[in-house]
Amino acid sequence: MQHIDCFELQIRNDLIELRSMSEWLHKACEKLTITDELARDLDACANEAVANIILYAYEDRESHPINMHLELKDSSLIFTIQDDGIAFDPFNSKATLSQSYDTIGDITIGGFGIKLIRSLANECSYCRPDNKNIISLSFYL
Amino acid sequence: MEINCESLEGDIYKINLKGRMDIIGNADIDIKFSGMTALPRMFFIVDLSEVNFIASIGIRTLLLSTKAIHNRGGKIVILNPDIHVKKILLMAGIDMVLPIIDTLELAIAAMH
Repeated sequence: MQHIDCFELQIRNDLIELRSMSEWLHKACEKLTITDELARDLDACANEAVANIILYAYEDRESHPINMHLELKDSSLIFTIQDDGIAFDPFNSKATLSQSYDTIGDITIGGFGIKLIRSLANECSYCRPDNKNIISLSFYL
Repeated sequence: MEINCESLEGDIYKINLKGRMDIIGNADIDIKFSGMTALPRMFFIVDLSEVNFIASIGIRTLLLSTKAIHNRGGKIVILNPDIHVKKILLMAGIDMVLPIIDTLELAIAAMH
């Protein structure tokens, strides 16, 4: 039986699954009485992270599971994503979204996804036990 | 996603987007958006009031057209985005090159 403060979802590595994931996240956040703003921050981060996995983590065309876990712990909302794709640490970069741009030429189009995650989540971490990528995002309540 | 374009005074075009601008929704409108913002048109107001989510792929679509429009001396602004969409756009830091404006009157004034 699933504990009320903990939710799990498994999807396939197919972009069409992103909509199901978002619906699941919003329903879980509603049950956890998470604010709408935080739920939308989480949805934005999850979309960027999982889309990256689906698009870039696999070297074959086989179906792969992507597992997600959402829980409330110590005044934080913690979202974890696990996949069996190639090793990739999305946070191995200093990029943030704190800069602004004066001209259109200053903007490098691309890389916004990871930067958005780093800006919206309070903590981001990556590890790779047992040949699995695990991304963990924490949002302070 | 849904997209349509209406012609306003002074050769200004208002592009109305509706729905979720994630990787799936963006695929619905990306090519149409590029076409609507192509030559010979120069001045654009992109109404995001009915877009309830934007992912980086959506920001990319907006910026690619913005670059092309700026390069030919045109103008483009964002009109009245949803509060969370606005938060994402501001975090991305693109408001200096793609102004975010709250009312249609001010958006039209920004074209001149």
